[in-house]
Order: sequence, then structure tokens, then C-alpha cells
Amino acid sequence: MQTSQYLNQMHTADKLSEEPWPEDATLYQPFEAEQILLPENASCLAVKAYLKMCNLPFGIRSCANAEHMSPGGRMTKLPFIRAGAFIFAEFEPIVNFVEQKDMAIGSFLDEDAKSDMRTYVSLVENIFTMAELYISFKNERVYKEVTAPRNGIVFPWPLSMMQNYSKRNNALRLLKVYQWNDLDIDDVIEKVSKCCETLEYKLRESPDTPFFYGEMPCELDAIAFGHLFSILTTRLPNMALAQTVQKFKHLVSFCRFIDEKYFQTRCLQD
Amino acid sequence: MQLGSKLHVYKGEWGLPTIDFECMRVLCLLRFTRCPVDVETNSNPLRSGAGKLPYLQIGNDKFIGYKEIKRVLDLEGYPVDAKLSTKQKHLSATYTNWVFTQLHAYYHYFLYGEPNNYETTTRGLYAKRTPFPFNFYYPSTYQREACDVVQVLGGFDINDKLEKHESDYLVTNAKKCVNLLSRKLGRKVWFFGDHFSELDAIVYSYLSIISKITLPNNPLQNHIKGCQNLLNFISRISRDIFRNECYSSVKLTKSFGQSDSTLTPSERKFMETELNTKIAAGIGAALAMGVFAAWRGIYTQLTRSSTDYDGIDYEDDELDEEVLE
Repeated sequence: MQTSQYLNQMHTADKLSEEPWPEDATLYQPFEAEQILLPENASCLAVKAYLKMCNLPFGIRSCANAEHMSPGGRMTKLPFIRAGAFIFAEFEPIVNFVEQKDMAIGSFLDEDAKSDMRTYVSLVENIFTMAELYISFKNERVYKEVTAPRNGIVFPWPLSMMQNYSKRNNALRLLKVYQWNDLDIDDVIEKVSKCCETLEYKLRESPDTPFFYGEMPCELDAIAFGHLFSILTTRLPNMALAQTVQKFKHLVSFCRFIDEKYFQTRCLQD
Repeated sequence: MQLGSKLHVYKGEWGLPTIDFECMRVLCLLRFTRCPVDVETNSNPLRSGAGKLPYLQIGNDKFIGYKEIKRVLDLEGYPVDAKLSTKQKHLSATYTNWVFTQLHAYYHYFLYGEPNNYETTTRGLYAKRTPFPFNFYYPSTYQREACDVVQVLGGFDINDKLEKHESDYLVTNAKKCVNLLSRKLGRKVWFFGDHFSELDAIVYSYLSIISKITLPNNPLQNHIKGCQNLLNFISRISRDIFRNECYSSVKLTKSFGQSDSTLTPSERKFMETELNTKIAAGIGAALAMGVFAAWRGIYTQLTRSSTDYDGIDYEDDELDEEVLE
């Protein structure tokens, strides 16, 4: 069912390429204050940043059952966007859809740089999503104090337990497929800091410009911002990930810059 | 590296050093970095402690799986990307991750998930390389793992009916990935010019197995055959780096066939089979002949010819017959 969705997405994206961006495009996500979990928050923020960078208008709708309405995806299945009659979930399909429309950022790159950039996007998405899932579901304290109550809040009692159980099972399976299930927290931190090193190195290749690839934003800026900013600003009982990211000063100031330019939440302290 | 350390992997086929992706990745690391380790191809997955190969045994310590072995090699002074520049190191890690996300689901679906492929080829490959009672069990563990992989990365369940397997998405993704790799490799020796990297190891591991394996349904195989530079890359590594490890059962039988050109096909086939099959066939043939002889009544005729002269009545004879039969 989900894969047919993937293929449909490819085909509809082809068909739609001439049509303009619909005015009533809506982004669906869980409730931000009470319900959303760290990995979902990160991917939602990444998509929002991307759409804002593209200067496309969109509305945001918070739904308790956003995850269950989503057509499916590889990781968090969130957020999903309804544009006209079509629905796309997760960062990459949404980016592919927008790219068909000639309004996408990142078209200034040549083909080699673009394929490099795509691999960076995939690295950032994998490493950070897995690390966030790991800390949310494998760390006992975070799971008991934050993940389970937040995930279960929209359901009445016995159902909330069942929902928590199935959600945790899915998360653990995801970790297993990406071969993260047998790591301990130190390995996770090492992977995250390696990924941050890669990003910081990339950022410093062009030290005078604010974005990863020169003066213009691209997908990598959106997804790196989404994940780094969520990790930095989410309060958890275990702040290991945030502390790791905090060590990379360039990345923190990059987050502050993007926040200032597109969101103005200013919740990242110095 | 301590002397006498041993790497346990599955034996190869089709001129490759091993049939398994994880084993191949580890072998690539060892041979690229010229780490002095013996390779053992007749081993039992039970002894690894995780139920699968590869594992590296150093003294009494076991290191199971790619991640642990890579860490050991890094600590022992055989890091795979030592000669790369900083930028190339970062790129190697990102590309490795990307190739994994693009090809992992394809590999698992077409080797273990597709029922026809699994039953006709893959299960037999793994079963032949696992000792006797375990060969009924261990191949299916790979299938169960593939079930999770395909469900997460492909979005369907391999236990569903075949019509519901929507593998087109996996194939499209894999083809795009191969195109990009072919363009990136260009006419270079390694992906990053003159020095090997982790990316070379993972690309070789996936593509050599996918391009050499004889599966009934393998859409990427022809696609790889269209990319000449990747084919050269694979055959060059197999030839130069795995000169001693490469194994192929077909080559042996071919030389056999040439020397005995007078034999009929069935006889030639019998010559190729293994010893215990021959013994079983011999016992079976003797038994069949014996049963046939008893059924045709040869024994009764022998006894009857001796009793005819005694003049004893036929009822006793019939009793005799029954006993003998």
C-alpha cells in the first residue's frame, strides 16, 4: 500500500509539473505543544523551512491523528502535505514534488554538486532521525518521562498503552533495519558528532557565506536546520544529543541565522 | 594485528570471494588495507554467537559483524580511508550511507524476499555453506531479517501474496543509484582517484553480488551490465585483490567435462556429484535390483528347481515360497 503510494507520487509529480502551486496547500502535523515527538518535530521543521526557503505559501494544520492519516514513508511518516488533490509525506517526496514546479531552491547547483548535496541530505536525515529515535525510545528515562506520555496523550487510557506499545515496536524495528539497535549511547554520540563534523566542514568550505552552498539556500540547509534546531531546543531528561551539537559553534550560529531569517522564534539562547 | 587471527566468512561462488554482503564488506576492508588475517570459509554460524557470519577471531576474542570488525581494524592501525584527504573522508562516509539507503532494500528483497529467487537460489547457497542440522534453520533467519528491511525501506510485506509485492519503486531507486555511481566513477581506478575508500568497499560488495548471482528475477543485473566502467571496476577488484579467495564451482566442473568427452550427459553429471551421493545412489541401485529380483520370483524358481526332484507335494512348496518372499 505504501509503495504504491511512492510510485503514485512519482507519476503524479510528472503529471503535475505544469500546474501552478495550489493556494490552499496544507501541511499536517501533530500538536506541537502537547503531542509531537523529537524526530517528528525535526522532520516537520525541516519541511517548513524548505517551503519557506522556496517562498511557497502553505497553511499548517495540527491534527491528533496526523500520523495515521499520512500515506506512509520510510521514517517518521510526518509531516505530510496536501497540495490540490495530491498528498506527499516526508522530506524527500515533498522536495521531489516541489522540484517539478520550477520554484525549487537548489537549481543553481550543477549536477555533481547536486548529487553530492543529495547524499548529504540523506546522511543528515538518517543519522539525526536515528539518533532522535534512539534517545526517544531506547533511553528508559526519556521514554518514560517524555515519549510515552506525549505519544499517549490524545488517546484514552487502555488505547494509549496499546498505541505506545506499537509505536515503540515500530521505532525499534526502524533502528534494527538501520543497524542501530545494538549501539550504546556513546556510539550514538560518536555517530552524531561525526555527522556534525561533516556538516561543519561543509559549512566552512565557504566561510563568508551563510549557507552550505554559497549565497543561496538549498535542501541541505533546510534539513540540517530542522534537525539541529529541534535537537538544540527540545528539553529532554537526557540532553546528550544537544550537548554534542552545542560543541559545534558554527552549526549553532547557522541555526540562529536561519531561525532569524525565516522563523523569528528566537528560542535559541547564546 | 596478532598472528593467527582468523576471519570466518561464507565460501564464494561465481568467481567471487564470498556470497554474502556483510562478509564481502569485511573482506574488502581486510584486503584493501592488506591486514594479515587468515580467511576461513568452512565455518558454522552457530559459533559466531550472533547466528551469522562474518566474525573475526583474535585469540579468544570474537568480533561479530561489520561494525565491530571495522572498529578493531581502526584501532589496530588498518583504517580504510587513511590516505584520503579530509574532504574525501567526509564524502566517503556520506556516499556510503547513501548507497546503503538506496541499495539495501533492493538487495534484501531480490535475494531473500522474492519467493521464487529465494527458493531456487539463495536458500540453497546458504544451506550448502552451513553444516548439517543447521542448514535447515540459518537460511531462514536471513529471510526474516529481510522481512523487516523490506517493510521499513520498501513499505510492503514479503509474506503477502506475490501480486502485492510492489518492487518497482526499489528497482527504480536502485537504477538511479547505479547511474549516479557509474557517472561518479568515470574512468578512475577508485571512486576517489588513486586511493581506496569505504565507498569502494560497499559499492563492490553490493554490485558484485547483484551482477554475478544467477537469480531468475533480477532486474538490476542487466542494468549494471550496461555500465561498462562499473563492470571493469568489479572484475578488476575480483582479479587483483581477491586473487586467492575467489571461488567458483562451475569452473571445476567445466574442466571435468572437457576431459571426459565420451560420457553421456547423465554419466558426466554423475561424475560431478559428491561421494555420499554416489554411495547413496549405489545402495539405492542394489536395493532396487534386489527387490526387482524377489518380485520376479527368481529365488522361488531356484528353490523350486531343487525341490522338484524330491517329489514332495506342492502345498509345502507354496509355504516355502511365501516364506522366501
